[in-house]
Amino acid sequence: MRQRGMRWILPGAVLFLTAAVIAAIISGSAGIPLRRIFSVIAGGNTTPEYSILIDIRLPRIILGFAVGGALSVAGVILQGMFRNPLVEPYTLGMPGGAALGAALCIILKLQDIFPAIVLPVSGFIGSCLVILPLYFVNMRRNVVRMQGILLTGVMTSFISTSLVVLILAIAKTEEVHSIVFWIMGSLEEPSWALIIIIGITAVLGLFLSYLMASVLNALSLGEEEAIHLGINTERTKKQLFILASLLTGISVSLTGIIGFVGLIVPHFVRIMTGYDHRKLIVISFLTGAGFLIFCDTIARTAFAPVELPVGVITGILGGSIFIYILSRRHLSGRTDGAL
Amino acid sequence: MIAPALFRKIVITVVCSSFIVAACLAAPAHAAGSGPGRPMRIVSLSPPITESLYLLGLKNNIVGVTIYCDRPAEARTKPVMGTVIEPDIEKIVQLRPDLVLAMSLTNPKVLTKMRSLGLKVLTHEIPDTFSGICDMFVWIGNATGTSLEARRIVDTARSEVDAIRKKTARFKKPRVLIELGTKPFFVATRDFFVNDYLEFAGAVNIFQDASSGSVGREEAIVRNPDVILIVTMGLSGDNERRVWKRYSSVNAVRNGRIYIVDSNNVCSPTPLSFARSLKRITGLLHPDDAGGWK
Repeated sequence: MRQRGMRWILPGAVLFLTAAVIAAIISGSAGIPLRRIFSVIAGGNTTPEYSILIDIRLPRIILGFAVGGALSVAGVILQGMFRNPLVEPYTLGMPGGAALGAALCIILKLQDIFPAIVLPVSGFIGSCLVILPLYFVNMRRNVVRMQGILLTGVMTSFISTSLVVLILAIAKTEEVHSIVFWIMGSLEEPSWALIIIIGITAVLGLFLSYLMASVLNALSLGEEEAIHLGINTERTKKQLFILASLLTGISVSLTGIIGFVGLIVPHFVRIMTGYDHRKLIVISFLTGAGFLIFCDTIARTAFAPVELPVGVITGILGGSIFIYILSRRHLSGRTDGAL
Repeated sequence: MIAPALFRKIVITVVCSSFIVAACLAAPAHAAGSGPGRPMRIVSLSPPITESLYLLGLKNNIVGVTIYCDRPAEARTKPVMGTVIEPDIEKIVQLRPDLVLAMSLTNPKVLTKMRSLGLKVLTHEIPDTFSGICDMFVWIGNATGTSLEARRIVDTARSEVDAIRKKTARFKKPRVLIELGTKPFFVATRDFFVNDYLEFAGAVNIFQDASSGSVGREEAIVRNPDVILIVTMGLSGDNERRVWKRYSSVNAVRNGRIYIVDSNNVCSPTPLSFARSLKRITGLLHPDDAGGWK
């Protein structure tokens, strides 16, 4: 029964992603009717409707695809590696570091130099600067202490968040606005170049993660078991750690803080696919991408013309669906799959 | 497992090529599409800009405002383009306005996006003095081809303000606290144009030297203001007045000189509304001398 159901999961995830993309392209406050979409696209770059579809909705879809996928895969990697269901990409303190980098850049007025690129770059540098000490503090004789990483990550997260609040308290009004804009996660991004970069990075990250899926399977049995299976656990942990950090860092530095995706999606997918990371990684990427695109569509349209922060929707929707599914599973007495 | 050398190579290649792509690509710019024959179509993304456009007689040219644009009352009938901070790009692009006027409060990413789509978007910093407010008004006039009218209105407002300044120059200067926020406690420093209300009305802002508005209530009590102006709307102002009543050592509390002023009138001004608010605030600060202020 379960095996038969498995065959439908990949097409199901692809279908969900396609549905989310179509929903995103046809809905918006401009109210372009469905039957006109094709004629508008075929008509080329002459009408405002074309601009709305291609220059406004499409970049958000690509960004949602990349960030949703990247955060979900990072979540799968970290949860598998730490063997802890509460770990998510943000647990290691990268959003705090990225926010700190961006905030410093704003109060030092660096963004006047290269306005489009300097904020995401400093966010990325900030998140890397948080991760590096995390890594080196917990390296002892070439062995990475996993629980140490987790604890140090949570602590650096507190420290960098406090530093951001400190900057907010002393910054001028207009700087405070810029910093808050940055922190409020949004898929709005004017630069095509950055969107393409994160798109490529996310897909490559998916590819690399897939190559490491069987190692993750071994690692999630426990480190000792993984060693007995002939795996160089230390090297693997480092590679996985860098991969997850890269995926998280690049997402958070471009879109700000969009919570919950990296926590909810891996759990949700694990309920369907079980613990095999080969499936888990691919399905999580597709589902995460579809989920974020779908949430962004709701954020854009629910109270149009007022746009909600997408994190509000991912939190409310993701959290409620997850609790619902979990309670159903407990009622039906199933304990396999997630948690 | 991937061999470490290969893994490193892949990661480094991805990162490097990403930066090269970023350096090479630049956002394409389109030409603005305004026709000469038809009247200018303007989207305003800020309440003071909307109010200024009405004062400049451009009410028929406004095609979009924000949800906060409620002055004059007529502005509520205009199509809404989202909030000041996150305007709805789709709606704006669909309207094909000739001009989008915004203040620096609006999300810069959204502004960049509109510019890259060929819209003419002009932004102005939040003015921090009365003279800044006048400059912004003239800026709106210049952008919309009504600079003569804008200058005339600014001159009227300036002469009203000057008259008040002249009159209040000889008054005894009360020491005033302007409270802009209650939780957290936030006061007006020299960096806010509300400070000009006090200077022109013949009063001293007790926090004009503070580098940031987030000071402690304790410091406010130590500085012992003669008058407290609570800039807020609705219930929180009355609550705040009750909180202040506990500190009877403060001059303003002892003499019952705590006033609540409506933030809508005071904080989102045009030159004319500044002059009007200044008149009212002068009346509050100098009730005996001022006779005809109200």
